[in-house]
Amino acid sequence: MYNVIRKIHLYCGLIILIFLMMYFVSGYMMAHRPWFLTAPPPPTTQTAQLASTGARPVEQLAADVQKQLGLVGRIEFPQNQPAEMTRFWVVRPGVMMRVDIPAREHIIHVSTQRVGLVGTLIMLHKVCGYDGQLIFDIYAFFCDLAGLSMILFAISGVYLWWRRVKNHFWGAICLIASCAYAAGMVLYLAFAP
Amino acid sequence: MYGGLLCFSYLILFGISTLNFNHPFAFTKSPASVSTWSQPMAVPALAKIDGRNAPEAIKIRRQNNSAILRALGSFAGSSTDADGEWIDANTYHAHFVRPGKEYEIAVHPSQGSATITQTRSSFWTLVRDLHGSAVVYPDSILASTWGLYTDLCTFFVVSAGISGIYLWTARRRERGIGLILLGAAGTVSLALMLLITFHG
Repeated sequence: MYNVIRKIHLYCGLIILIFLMMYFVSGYMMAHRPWFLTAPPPPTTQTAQLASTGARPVEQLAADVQKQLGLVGRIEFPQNQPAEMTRFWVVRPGVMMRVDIPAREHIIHVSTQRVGLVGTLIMLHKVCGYDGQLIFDIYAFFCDLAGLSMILFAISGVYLWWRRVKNHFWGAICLIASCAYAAGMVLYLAFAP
Repeated sequence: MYGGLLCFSYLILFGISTLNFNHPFAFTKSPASVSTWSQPMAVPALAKIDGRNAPEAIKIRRQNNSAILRALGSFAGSSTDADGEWIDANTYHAHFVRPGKEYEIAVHPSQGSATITQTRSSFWTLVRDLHGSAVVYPDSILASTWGLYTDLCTFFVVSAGISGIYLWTARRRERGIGLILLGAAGTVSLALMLLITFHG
């Protein structure tokens, strides 16, 4: 049993290593943005004529515009649409394109913002969820693997420590401290004024 | 090994919240509880923002918000400093967010009272908010320590990855299969990141 768990711990670690490193390094950069982020370059803009003008849902309009202009990335909508305008973003790591289509015009305004290497890593960190686009779905699957492996490493690590070390005192102190701290923090944040 | 045990709870929380970001199941979107009440609130004179330039206005909002938080006996992150505005001559509105809680506070200085709307987030929202949080709360040392714990766990996981590679290469019997797994999975991982970055 010990050897099986150890091999699972080792091989899962080797499989997900690159993703985990990316998540933790970019996560550190996210947590300390002022240390890493520099001023982004000014956005570039372009305008184009809307190819087809029939009434349609905003999701369809966004998909048509994305196809017409060859904008690469995931479509995201704001929580509230601005008045007299359809707005959406086409986002992929490193690039955010804001697309505005005024209601009474047939013109598409695209503002493209690039975010540099650190910004790209941060955006890679934030990609999640399955939406039917193959590449993004495979990426989301690796995100799932990273999440599962964190749980697996934590539990298998405890098992390996318990079986390997004879004196459990200091390890138990660390484990209890960790659990008590996290549980205490959740309760504190939930119930403190 | 002991570093891993010290980070045990963070890894579990991190793993669960990562899965939840990827799969926002309905049961993890349970509604928050909202309550509104009025209470006496003695806040030192809140400054006006009229006619001030942007940096000065931010500084004033920060001072006003900090005074309101202290009067309420609560804490929130410094990122919400700009969320404060005079609605009318006698009402200053402030908005505070932190993991677990959200406050909308309308302070009426002349009456010495405040109307407070508190939104208490669900357990799942709290877990998601704790994911990678490194916010420093000037009014709560305890809550600020979560940021240090996040840094500690980040340092540990990166170190564990590097030391794991070192220890694995020392074991001759598992070097071959490990090299294949690391090479194949590493290539796929990097290719996926590059593909999603350059081709969406």
